[in-house]
Amino acid sequence: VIHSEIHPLKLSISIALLSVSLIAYQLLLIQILSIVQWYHFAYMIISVALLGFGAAGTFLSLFQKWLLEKLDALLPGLVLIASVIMAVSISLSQTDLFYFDSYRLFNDLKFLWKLFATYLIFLLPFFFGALAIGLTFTKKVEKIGVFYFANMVGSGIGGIAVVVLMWVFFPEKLAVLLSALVFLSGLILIIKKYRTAYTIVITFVIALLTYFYLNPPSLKISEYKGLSKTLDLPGTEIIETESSPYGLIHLVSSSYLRYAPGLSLTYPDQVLVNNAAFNNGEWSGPLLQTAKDSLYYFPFSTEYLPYVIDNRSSALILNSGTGRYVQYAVLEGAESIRAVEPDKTLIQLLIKKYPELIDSVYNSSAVDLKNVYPRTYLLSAELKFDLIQIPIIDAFGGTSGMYALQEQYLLTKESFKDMYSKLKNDGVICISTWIDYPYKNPLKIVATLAEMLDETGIKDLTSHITAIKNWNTLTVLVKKNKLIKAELENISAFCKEMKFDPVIFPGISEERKDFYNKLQDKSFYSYLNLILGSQQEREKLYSEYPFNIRPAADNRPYYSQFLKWESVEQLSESYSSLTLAFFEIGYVLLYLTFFQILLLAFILIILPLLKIRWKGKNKLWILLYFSGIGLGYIFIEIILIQRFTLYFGNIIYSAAAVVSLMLIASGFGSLVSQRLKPESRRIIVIISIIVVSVIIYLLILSLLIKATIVYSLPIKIIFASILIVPPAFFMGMPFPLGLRFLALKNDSSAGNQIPWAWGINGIFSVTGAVSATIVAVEFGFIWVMIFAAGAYLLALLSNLVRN
Amino acid sequence: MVKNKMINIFFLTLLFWLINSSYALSEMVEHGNNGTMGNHSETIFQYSITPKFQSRCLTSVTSPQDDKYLKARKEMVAEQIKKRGIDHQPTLKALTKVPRHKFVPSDLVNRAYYDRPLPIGYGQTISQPYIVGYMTSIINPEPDDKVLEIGTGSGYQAAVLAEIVDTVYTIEIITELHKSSSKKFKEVGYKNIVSKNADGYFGWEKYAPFDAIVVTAASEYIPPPLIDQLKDGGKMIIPVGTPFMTQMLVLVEKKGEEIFTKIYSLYNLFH
Repeated sequence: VIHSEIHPLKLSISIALLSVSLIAYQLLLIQILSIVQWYHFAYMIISVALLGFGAAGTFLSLFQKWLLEKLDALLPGLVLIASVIMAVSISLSQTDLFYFDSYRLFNDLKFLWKLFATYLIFLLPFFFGALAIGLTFTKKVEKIGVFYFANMVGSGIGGIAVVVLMWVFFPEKLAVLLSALVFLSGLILIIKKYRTAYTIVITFVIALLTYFYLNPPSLKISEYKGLSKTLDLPGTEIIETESSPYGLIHLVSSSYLRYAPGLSLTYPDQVLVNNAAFNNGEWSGPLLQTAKDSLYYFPFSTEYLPYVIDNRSSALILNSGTGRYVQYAVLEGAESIRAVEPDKTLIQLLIKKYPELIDSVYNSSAVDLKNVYPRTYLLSAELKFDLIQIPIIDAFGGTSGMYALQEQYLLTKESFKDMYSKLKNDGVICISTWIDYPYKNPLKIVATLAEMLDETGIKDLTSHITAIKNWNTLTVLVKKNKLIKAELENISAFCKEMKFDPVIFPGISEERKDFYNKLQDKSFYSYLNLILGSQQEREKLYSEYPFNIRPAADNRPYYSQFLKWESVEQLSESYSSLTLAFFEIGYVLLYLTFFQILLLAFILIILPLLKIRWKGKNKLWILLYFSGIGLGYIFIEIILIQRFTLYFGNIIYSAAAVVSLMLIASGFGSLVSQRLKPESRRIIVIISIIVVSVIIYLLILSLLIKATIVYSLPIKIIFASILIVPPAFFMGMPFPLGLRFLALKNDSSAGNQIPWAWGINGIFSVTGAVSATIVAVEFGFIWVMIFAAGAYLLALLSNLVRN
Repeated sequence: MVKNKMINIFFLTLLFWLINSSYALSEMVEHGNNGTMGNHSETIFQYSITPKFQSRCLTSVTSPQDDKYLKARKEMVAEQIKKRGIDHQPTLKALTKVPRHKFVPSDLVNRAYYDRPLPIGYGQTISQPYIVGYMTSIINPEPDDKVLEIGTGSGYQAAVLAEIVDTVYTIEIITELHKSSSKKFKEVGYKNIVSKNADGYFGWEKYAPFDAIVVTAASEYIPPPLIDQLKDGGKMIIPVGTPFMTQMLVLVEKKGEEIFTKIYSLYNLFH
C-alpha cells in the first residue's frame, strides 16, 4: 500500500468544505430551476445529486487500484475539476446548447435531450466531489470514522449555510462562491511535491472563478413566464430585484399592465396598473395606487361580493402579497385589518423602500402586518373576523399544471376548517377562482368548502354558500351564520346591475344562472348541484369525473393536481396525445423525469458493474437489503421534506433543515456503527428500531406538527431535531454495517460484491427521490411512510431469511 | 387498477418520446431530400388589382414544393377541421388557401400543418389550425365585413380572415412580431390587411365600428374600448388558455345596450 503524504487534518478540513459546498449547491440548483423554470424540478435535482454520488461509487470500485496509487496527485485535481464545473455549470445551463423550457419539452425532441444534458452537467460536480470523498474513505479506511464525520457535519452545515447565503447573494453569484469553497478544499490538498505542477491549474481556476464572479450568467427566465412576457412589452422597466430563500422578486413598471379579476362588462373606464411584483418570474400581484385610479374598478368586480352584503370592520387577508385586498378593505372602511404575508423580502420592499407604490397601505394604522405563514397564523390567532380573504386561485387561462407538484396547504380542507373557526357569527370567507375548461378549479374549491361545512356539522349547505360569476371568474362566499333575506336581495341586485350571474343562490332558476355569461357546456351547474348535495353524490362525482376534483387535504396537499391517468384514453380522443401534456406539465414531467433518471442511473451505475460481473453467494440478500435501505432512507427524507414544508412554510427551509439534520444524525450513527460487529442480529435490531420509528411517525407526525407549528423558528428547529435526529441516527447504520458484513466474509467474492451492493443502493436512492413524490401525489403522504416502512421491512426480512 | 395505471403512465411517457422522435426523424428525412426548406421556397405570386376579392385572394404559380404544402393543407382541413365538425365553407376555403408554412418560424416549416400550436418566440404561439378555424367560423364573417384583430402574432389568423372579408385591421404590441408579420403579409401578397404596432387595449378608433373583433392576445378582462368599437350585433371572440393549449373560446355579443358572453368549450369532452 502506498502511503499518502496528505496530512489527515487537511483531509478532514477539505472533506468538510467540499461537503458544505455540495449540499449547498444542491439546494441552490433547486432554487435556480424554480426561477428559470418551475418548482417541479426540485425532486429531479435531489435525484441528480444522488446519481452523481452513485456513479462515483461505481467508478471508484472499477478503477480503485489505479486511483489509489495516484491518490496524492489526483485528489486535488478531482476537487479542482468539481470546482470549475460548479462555477461554469449555471452559465452553461443557460446557453442555447443546454437551455430547455418546460413548455417546449413536449413540442420538440431536442428539448428533451437538452433536459437530459442538463442532468449531466449538474451531476458532474457531485460526481467529482463524491469521487474525491470516496477515494479518501477508501485510502484512509483506518480513520474513516473521522472523515465520515467531517463529511456529514460539513453537509449539515452546508444545508443551513446556503439558506443564510441566499439572503445575501443572488443565486447566479452564489454558485461561484460555492465553487470557490470547493477550490479552497482542493488547494489545501496539494502537497509540496506537486505544487509546481499545479501552479498553472490553480492560476487558471482563479482566473476562471474571478471571471464568472464578475460576469455571472443572467438567468434566462422561461419566455412563457409572466415576467418575460411583461418585459417584452415596450417601455417596461425593472424597478428593483431582490433575492432571498423565498425566491427572486422583481418589481416592474409598465404602462401596459392590466389586472382586474372578475370585472363587469359594464365598467366604462380603464384599469391602470403601472407597477407589479413578480416572484421567480411569475405574477405575484399588482402594485395599486389610488392616485392613479387603479382601485376604482373594485366595486365593479365579482370580488366585491363580501362588501355587497355587509360592512366588514375587521378583515383577515391571508397571503396578502402586494396588498391588493388590504387596499380594498381600507377603501371599504375596515377598522382593523390583519394582513398575513410570509415573504419577508417583499414586505420589506413595500414597507421601507417603495411604500408609495401601494399607497403605504402596510404602514396604515388600521393594518397589522404579520410576517408568518397563513396556516401558522390561523392556528395561533385568537381574534375573530368579519371577513377572511384568500387570494384568487391559479392564473387566468390556467398554468398548464406547472404547480401540480406544489403543496398548497392554504387550500386544504383542514385549512378552511381553521379559517371557519376564526369567523365572527356574520363573518364570511371569500375566495375567487378563474373559470377553466374542462371545469376543474371552480368545482374543486366549491367541493372543498362544501366538505368543510359538512364536516363542521352544517347540513343545509346552500344557506351558507353563495357564488357569482362573470365570464371568467367565480367568486365564492361562505358565511358562518345562514345568509339572510336582505343579504340575498343585495346580491341579486348587485348581479343584475353588474351583469353577473348568481350560480349558487337559494331558489335561483337554471335560466338565471346562465343569463349574461352563458356556458356552452351547462354541466357546470349540475356538477355544482351534486357537490352541494349529499356526500354520496359528491363521492360519485369525484370517482366518475375525468379530473381529480376531490378536495385537497393536509395528507395530499396538491391542490393543482387534476389529471387522472384513467382518463387519459378518454381525453386522447378529444385532444391530441401531445396536447395532453399541457393539461398538467408538472405532473407529466414527474414521470418523464422518473424514466430519464432511471435510464441514467442504469447507464452510470449498473452498466459499468456488468464489466466485473456479479459473483458469489447471497445475491438475493444483497439485492433486497441494499435496495430496501436505499429506498427506505430516501422515502423518509422526501416525506419529511414535504411534511416540514407545512411546518416551515417554505421548501428551501424545509429541505435545508431535514437534509442537514438527517445527514448529521446519520453521520453520527455511522460513526457509532464502527464499534458494532456487523452481525445479522444487530442489523435486525437496528432496522426494527427504524421501522418502529416510521410507524410512530405515521401515527403522530401530523399531530405534532400541528401542535407545535405556532412556535417561533428556533423552537420549531428544536422540535424538528427531536423528531428527525433519533431515527436518522439509526438510519445511518445499516449501510456501513452491511458493507462491512460483506467485507468481513471469508469469501473471495467480497471485492466484487461490495461495488454491487453500493450500486444497488445507489440506483434505488436515485429513483427513490422521484418515486416518493409520485407516491405522495397519487396516494398521499401516509402511503409514502407505509412504503418506507415496507422497504425497511424488506431489508429486515432479508436478514431473517438469511439467518 | 394500480397496475393499469402504471401501464398507462408508461405508455404515455413512451408515446411522448416516440412521437417526438418521429417528428425529428421526419425532419431529418425532409431536410435530407430537399436540402432547403421554408424561406427558400420558390413560390411565385401574381397579384391582380380587380375585382375586389382577387386583390387579396392570390393566384399562384405553384412549384412541386407548393403542391406538397397544398396537399398538407387539404389534409389538415379534412382531418383537423372538418372532422371536428366545422363546416363553415368560407373558413374551410380560407384555411385551404392560406400558406400556413409561411407564417411559422423557418425551422418549424415542416411542422406547419401538424395538429398543434407552434412557438413563434416572445412566449407566443401560432394557434393550432383547428382553433383558428373555430374562431373564424364562430364570428361568421361576411365578405363586406370589417374585422379588427388584437394581437397579430404570426399573422396567420389575419391572413385567414383576409381571405374572407373586405379588410382586416390588426394590432400587435410587440414591435418585433409586428415587423415580421408585416413583412410576411407583403411577401405573401395580402393587400387588405392593415397593421400597426400599438397597444390593442384601445382598439382602432379611426376605423371603428367593426363587424367583428378577434382578440388573439389573452385578455383577462374585456377592454371597454373594444366593446365600444363593436357594431350593434357585432361579435367579439377571445381564446382563453395557456401557451400551447387553448381551453375555451369566449364570444361577446353586443345587442343594443346589452352585452352577453358565451363560453365555447372547444372539444365538448364528456358528452
